Amino acid sequence: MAAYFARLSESWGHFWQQVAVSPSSPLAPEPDLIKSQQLVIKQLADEQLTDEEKKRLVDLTNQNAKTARNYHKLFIAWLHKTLVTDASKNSAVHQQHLFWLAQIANALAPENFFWTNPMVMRRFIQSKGASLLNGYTQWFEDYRTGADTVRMTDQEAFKVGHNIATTPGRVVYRNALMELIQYEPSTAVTHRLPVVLIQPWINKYYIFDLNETKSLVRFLRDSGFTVFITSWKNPDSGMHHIGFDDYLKMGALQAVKVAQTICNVARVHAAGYCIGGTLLAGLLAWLNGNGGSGNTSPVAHASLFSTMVDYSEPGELGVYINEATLRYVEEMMHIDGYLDGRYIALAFRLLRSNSLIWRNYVHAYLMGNKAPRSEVLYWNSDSTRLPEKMCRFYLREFYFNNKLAQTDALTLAGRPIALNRIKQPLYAVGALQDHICPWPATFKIRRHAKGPVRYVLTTEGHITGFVNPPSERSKMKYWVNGRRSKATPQNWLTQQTARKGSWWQDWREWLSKKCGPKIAPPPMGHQRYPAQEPAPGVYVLEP
Amino acid sequence: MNGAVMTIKEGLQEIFPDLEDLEITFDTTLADVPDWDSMAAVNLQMYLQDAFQKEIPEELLVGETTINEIVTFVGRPN
Repeated sequence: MAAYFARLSESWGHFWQQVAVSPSSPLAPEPDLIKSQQLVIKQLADEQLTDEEKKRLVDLTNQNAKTARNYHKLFIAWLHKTLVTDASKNSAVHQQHLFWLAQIANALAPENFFWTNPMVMRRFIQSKGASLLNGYTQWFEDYRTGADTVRMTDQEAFKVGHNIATTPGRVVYRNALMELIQYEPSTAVTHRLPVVLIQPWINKYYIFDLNETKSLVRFLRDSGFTVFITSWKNPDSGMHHIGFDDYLKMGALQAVKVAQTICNVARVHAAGYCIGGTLLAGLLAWLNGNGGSGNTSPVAHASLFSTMVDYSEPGELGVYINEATLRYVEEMMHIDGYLDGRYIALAFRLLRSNSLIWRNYVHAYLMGNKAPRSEVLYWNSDSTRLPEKMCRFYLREFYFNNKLAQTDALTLAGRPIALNRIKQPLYAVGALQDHICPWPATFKIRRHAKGPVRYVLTTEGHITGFVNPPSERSKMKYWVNGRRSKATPQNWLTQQTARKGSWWQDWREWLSKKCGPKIAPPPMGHQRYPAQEPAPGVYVLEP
Repeated sequence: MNGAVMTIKEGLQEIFPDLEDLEITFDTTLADVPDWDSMAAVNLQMYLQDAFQKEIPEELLVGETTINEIVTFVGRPN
């Protein structure tokens, strides 16, 4: 400990030595900051600045920004040097240090401050101070409405069921945990086997039905598929006892059963996204684990989008996975009976704090810009709670203990789970810039499942890689191969040739071969599962 | 420098204030901009729509898009 403090003291001295010898030291008698402050005060006092004064103000801010950037770099380098030792490298603790160091560096970046952001100053001059006033108004509005951090999107621009999540359909099943929506066909005939989409429950379901052009649901429907989708209940304290097993039996399994009945088929295609895919992988193994084989399962084949089944390399979210953090989260959940969606949203935003917090902060509060109007960001902000029991189990057994990847180590709904019991054909998709489910982690399904796996890697990230409609202008690319090999993810990628366009088209072709001939579409609902409210249903609207 | 390129550069500087040292040419791609990501794409889309009074499709603003392609698009009649 003494050695540590000695090193700390030495490096702190070194830091100040560098600051003191800097030609633009803040210790200078007449810092530029004061001059620029005088001009800004003059502008705020409604005195018109001359053109020369305006130019002077911009020049001073540029100078201040440069100086501030230099000190920021020096300070962060000092912090880095202090925290990172040879002994700590490559440890989980080291990754946490780097993560929190990045948070400090991002928060203290000169761009985040009025006096050291030239673009903010330019906007201030152009608007004669109105930009800062607008920014203050937006901050006050966020504060008044209880937002934890600056809003990412214009909350007034969208209304679920009106201009977002509008594909026509009906709720055909509802229990305490899930609504199942069946979409109306748009073609005269549809493939015999329906597609059942098992959605994640960390956000609302409509990421696959944003608007008319950005809707996987609509794309499937217009390609001649019967489509069902799960819409989960946003849990409250009373649902603290709902576990992962319930999501499996009352959710995914029940959705498959209802679709089977309505379409009068023995088997369906099921597709899961993110944690919905993990649940689906668990269901496939669970169904085959009862002495069944892939051939008798009600799920004939499945698709897994951005889905981890092996959490040994969970990517950036791994910084939160340690005993101390888990205990803290568990204690917090025990009070409310759930994990509040606001904490989940903040955890995700911290992973990309520059682009998801600080850039918004500068735009909204310092420049006075309105928050962008974006369906994807609106969906991203529409976070949900997680039931205590399910969340505890998921964090401990999947992320912390990585039991799903170990044969028969995890028990779901009374049955030990082994991924090598999955024999059905799979279509798995990862995204190159996905920082929530890194593609090398999603690639591992090829090793665990025993059936054929067509693996696809798409450009873009966790959301934009999957909301990926084909378009003439699209510059998206993907790489695909269904052959079994022991290649590492990087080797696999170097062996593939990039294809231009959206993987949705490749998936449609794959599905068309697997989902049977086209016949008259099934009715909406069934006498056992009558069609109820129109889509988007009730659960998605619950706060 | 072309007026449209100047406007695009200002938009990028508004999103990335420490960008002043990056030389923006017709061949620069959005991926050349350090820290370019999908959130930046949304912000640039908003900026360009305001600046050029034109609907900008999201799929135009991906990493591989060049400044020249944006200039060509905003220069087309509506």
